[in-house]
This record gives sequence, structure tokens and C-alpha cells, in this order.
Amino acid sequence: MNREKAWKYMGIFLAVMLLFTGISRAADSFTVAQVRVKSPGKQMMTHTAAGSGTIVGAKERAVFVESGQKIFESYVKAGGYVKKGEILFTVDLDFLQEQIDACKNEEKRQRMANTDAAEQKKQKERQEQAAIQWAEEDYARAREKSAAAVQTAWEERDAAAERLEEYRNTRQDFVNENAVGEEDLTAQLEEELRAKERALEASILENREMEAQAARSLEDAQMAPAKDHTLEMAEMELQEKVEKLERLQKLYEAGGNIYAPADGTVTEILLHAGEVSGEGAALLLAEGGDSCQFLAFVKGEEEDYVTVGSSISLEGTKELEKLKDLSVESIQTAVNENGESVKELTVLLPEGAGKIGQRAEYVVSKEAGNAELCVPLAALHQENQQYFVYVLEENAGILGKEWVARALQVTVEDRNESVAALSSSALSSQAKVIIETDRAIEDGSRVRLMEE
Amino acid sequence: MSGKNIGLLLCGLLGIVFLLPVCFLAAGSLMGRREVEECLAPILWEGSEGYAQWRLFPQYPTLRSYVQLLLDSPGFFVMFWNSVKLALGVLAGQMLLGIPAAWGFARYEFPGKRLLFTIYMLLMMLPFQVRMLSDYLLLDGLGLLDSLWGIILPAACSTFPVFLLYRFFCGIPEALLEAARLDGAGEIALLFYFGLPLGSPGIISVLVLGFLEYWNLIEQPLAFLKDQSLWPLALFLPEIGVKEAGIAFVASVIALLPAALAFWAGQDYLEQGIIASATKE
Repeated sequence: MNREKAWKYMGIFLAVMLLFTGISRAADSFTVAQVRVKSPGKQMMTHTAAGSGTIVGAKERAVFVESGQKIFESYVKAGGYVKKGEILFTVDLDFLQEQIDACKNEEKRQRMANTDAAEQKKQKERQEQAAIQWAEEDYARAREKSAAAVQTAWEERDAAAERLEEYRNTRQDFVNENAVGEEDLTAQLEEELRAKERALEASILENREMEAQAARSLEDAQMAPAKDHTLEMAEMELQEKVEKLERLQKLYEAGGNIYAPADGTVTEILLHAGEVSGEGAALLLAEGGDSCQFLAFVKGEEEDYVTVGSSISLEGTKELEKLKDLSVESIQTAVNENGESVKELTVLLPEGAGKIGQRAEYVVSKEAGNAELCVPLAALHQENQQYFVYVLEENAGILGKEWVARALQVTVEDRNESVAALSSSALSSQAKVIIETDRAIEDGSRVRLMEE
Repeated sequence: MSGKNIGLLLCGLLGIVFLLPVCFLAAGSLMGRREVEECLAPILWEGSEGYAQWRLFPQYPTLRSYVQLLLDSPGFFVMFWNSVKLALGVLAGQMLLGIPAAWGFARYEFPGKRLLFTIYMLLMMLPFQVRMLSDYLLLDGLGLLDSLWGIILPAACSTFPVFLLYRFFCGIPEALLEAARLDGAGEIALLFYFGLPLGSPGIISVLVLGFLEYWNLIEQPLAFLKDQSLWPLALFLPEIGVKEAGIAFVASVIALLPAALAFWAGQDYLEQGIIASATKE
């Protein structure tokens, strides 16, 4: 190979190398991630809770239908507005009439039952009085008889005692008269006296027992009977039946119509055509009026940011766009449509603002204070439960000074939906934090600033 | 078989043996990553047993490494052009300084010439490791550290080109120069119109040898250049890891080409330069 060819090939070689230099640079530029950076700055951390809710009336009223009525027709829908006196439901009149007739029969039966109960009560009282009287008479007779028996026993004993005394006084005469021996007569008279005395004691005991029994019977008869309220309860039942009958008759006279008790919006219908009314409300009516309130559920993760007194703004129709400086009136626990326990906020609206049933969006902002190092949330990454950000670091390499992404561990002190407040001993306010990148990067990746 | 043929055969065999590394290099540049790792596993991976093996022809040839290096390694080209700048800068400096110095030593007599020339020879024999610290301090004092001029300027003042060109310039007949002087040619004209043309073999051999030396320069850049963007191609290979052995082979092949082309371009003059340096007046 001669010299000229060698120099020619050298030239070609250098030209090819120059070409590949450009191509490799271009290819490399495609592989290097482009990033946008921002230095952490001081910022007020604001937490925003947002959602949607409904405007309801300040008061809610339940409308009842007489229980046991079959609803023939329903004239309202949930969310509909009704005026006072407007017909809400119509019950089945035939069914109502049957109930009225049945109620009347029940009333009659109850009246008759009450009458029977009154008569029985009187009869019982009479029986009780008679029993007392008989017991008193028995007691008196027992005492008389007892006294007479005892008196007789006393007399007989006294007689025996007199005979014995008399014998002792005129012993010989008596012996002669009675033709007995002296010792036998004394023993006989003493025995007779003892017998009479025993008889007297027995009579006294027996009569005492008899008197006591008569007295107990009298006490039993005089004892106050147990209280019996059967008649009073029956009267009460009768009264209830009478009242129910009056209500049914009144409903019948009204043509079976249930009227709206006040102006308002139907929030919930609990009874529908074809159903039988129960003890509960047939529908709920949010009464209209000058003041309404706004109700909305608060998302679980935003509950900490919504407190009583928080500033809230509502957006909806043109009328609501002006409502900026409202405050949360109350927060209570409620159950949402999924059966979950959630917080529900209530906001009182100014007079004339909003209409019942309107939907609106709410925004609650809560300032959590200034944070020194704030970065956009897009700059925050997480791995193994540790947060980190990528910062731009200048690195001198073969291609000269180039930017490299370095992962820096940080601690998140606070965050909202757009900004994170960080704390880190290595992160300063002069650091350039990568907030956006056009491809995935990792620690040590070469990067370049995004073309604007 | 005649003695000449035997000699040729032996030289041929030796030539093949010397050529084998280049063949291995070329084969390795066409191997895929797995094939390279498989062959060099005992060297590259700890715990691997046995000996490294190599194939003259790849089992699954591929240009993947070439594509990776030429299209996906801009750092390689930075270092390539740094090597080009270094080599050309040094050679230009050597031509600028070495040729007049050699001409002076060859054609003129002045006091202390032998001593100065002896010092030149001594300096030529001193390895870089001996001069490194003094060079570092000097460059630091001049503010030339971490700069290509810190490599180019000391190399441009190298004494080897002076030594080589001195021989060639000595070979120019003095009568020719006297005649030119008589015709009114000045000393500068003598250098340009007689010294350079007649000493072109030596100049070209200096250029070729110098290119071969400074194209592969590694010690001075490693010692004096901290900025990696100034590193020459010789420092690219240490940057390559185990997994990029294929790229290392390709880089070596590409680094070999300019040296080979330079050698081919100045082969004839190189031989004359070697002869000239071997002969004595």
C-alpha cells in the first residue's frame, strides 16, 4: 500500500470517526432524560378538602299515614317540591271502609265487654259485703253461745261446790238422807266437783277456740280485696278504638287523601303505591322556607382538615358562586350509601341562597402554617417506605460537566394534594430538585435540563 | 528446501505469532457478550476455575459491540479526539522545536555543543517516572495542570526527535550547503530549502514514531489530567468494566487503526530512520 493511499485512508477514517462522533452524540441525547428542576421554597401549607353535597331544608318533617292502610296511589317523587295541602297519597277506600266497619264492631264488643266487667265488679262487691255481714253474725252467735256454755259450766260447777260445802256443813243429815257411807259421799262430791271444774275448763277452751275461729273468719271477710284494674284497662282500650275509628272516619271523609302538612321538598319516600302503611313515616319532607342548609360527606382522608368553624366555599349555580365566606356549622357521624360510617358536614346558608335539592361542590381550605422546604408532590418518590427526591448534581465526566440525578432521602413533614413539606439535613433551599422528567431515572442517571 | 526458504518460513511463522494478538483482538470485537464472558470467565470472574480460552473465529459473530461503541458511547469519541489533539499538537511542537534544534546541532559548531548534546541524550534516556514529580511541580507552577497544554508542551520539547533528525541532517553534504550560501541563501533558507526536503525521511520517521508514541500516551495524562473530558483514548479502556469486554475489544481495534495507517504511510521513511539511527558517521 503506497503512502498516498495510506493518507487517503487515514483521511477517510478520520471523516468516519467525525461522523460517528456526531451520531453518537445525537443518540446519546435521546437516551439522556430531560428534567425540569425547582429549588425548595418557603410556602404556606394549605390543605383542601373538596367534595359535593346537597342543599336541604333546615327542617325535616315526617309525614305519617294511618297504619294498616293500603296505598292506592302516590303522587310524589323523591326530590319533588310540594305545597301545603297538596295530596301526597290516596289510600284504598274500600279497604278503609272495611277497617272502619271492623273498628266499629270492635268498639261495640269492647263496650259490651266493659259493661260485663262493670257488672261483675258490682256483683263481687255485693258478695263481699254479704260475706262480711255473715261473718259478723257468726261471730256474734259464737260469742253468745260460748258465753252461755261457759255460764252453764260455771253454774254446774258452783252447784257441785255448794253440795260439797253443804255436805261438809251438815254431814250427818246428808248421810242419813242419802243413805250412803260418809267417806264415799265425800269422795263422790269431790269427784263431781272436779269433773265439773274440768268440764268448765274444757268449755272455756272450746268456746275460746270457737270465738277465735269466728273472729278469724270475720277478719278474712273484712280483708281488703286485691286491686283489679281490668275495667279501667278495658275503658282505655275502648277509648283507643274510638279514637282510631274517628281517625279512620276522618280519613274516609277526606276521600282517603293524605295531604302535605307544609311546603317543602320530598327528600325520601318510604311508602309506595300498593304497600300497606306501618307505624313509621310514609315520607320525609324537607320544609322550605327562607333558610336552607348544605350537607355533604367528608372523605376519610380529609376528615382532619374539616373542623367546626372551618371556612368553606360552595360552587354550583350562579346563585351559589357568590357563597365564599361560609363556615362549617357542625360535623356529625353518618352512614353513607355503602353503609360506611363517615363524617357529614353541615353549612347554614344565608337566607334566599340555594334551593332544596340542588347539588353543589364544596371546598374547605385549612392553613397548616409555613413550611421552609416545599416541593411539588411530583418530585417526591417512595421506595421501601422511605421518601426521597432527586436533586441535580454537577459531575465532571468524560463528556465534560454534566448533570447527574442523585437520590436524597427526605422526611415528609406535611403534604397536600400538590405540595410536600420536607425536612432533611442534606436538602437546602439552593438545591435543584427534579420535579419533572420525560423518562424514568435512577440514582446516578445522567440528565439534562428540559428544553423550554 | 534452501536456507532462504527456511528463513522465510521461520520469519513467516514468527510473523504469524506476532500477528495472533491482533487476530484475537479482531475476533473478540466480533463476539457477543456471552461468548466473551464464557471465554474469559477464569480471568474475569472470581472463583472460576480453569484457564481462559479463545477462538480465532467467533462462534456467533455479531457487530453489536461495534454498534454499542460507535453509536452509544460518546465518551469514546471525546477521548479519541483528545488523542488526536494530543498527537497532532505534540508532533507540531516537535517539528517546530526539534527540527531547528537538530539542524543547529548537525550543521553548526558552538561552545558547549557536545555538552549540550550529551545533556539531550541523558534527558532522552530518563524515563517519565523519574521526571514525573519535577514535571508536576513545574506544570503546577505554570498553571498547566489539568490542561492538554501540560501534556503537549513538555512532549514538544522532547529530545528524541532532535536525536533522530540530527542523524539525518548530518547526512546532508556540506558542499551543497556551501554552494547555496555562495548563491546567497541565508541560514533559514538553507533549513527550509535544503534541510527539510533532504531530511524529510527523518522528519517523517520522527512523525511516525512520535505518533505511535503519543497516540498511546497513558502516563502523563493519568498523572497530570484530572478532568476526564481531557483524557486520551488510552485511558478509555480502564474505564470499561467486566461486562463490557466486547466494547474493549472494539475500542482497541479502532485505536489500532490510526497507528496502523500512520505506520503504513511512513513505513519506508521509518526504515530509513532506523537505518540512519543505527549508522554512525
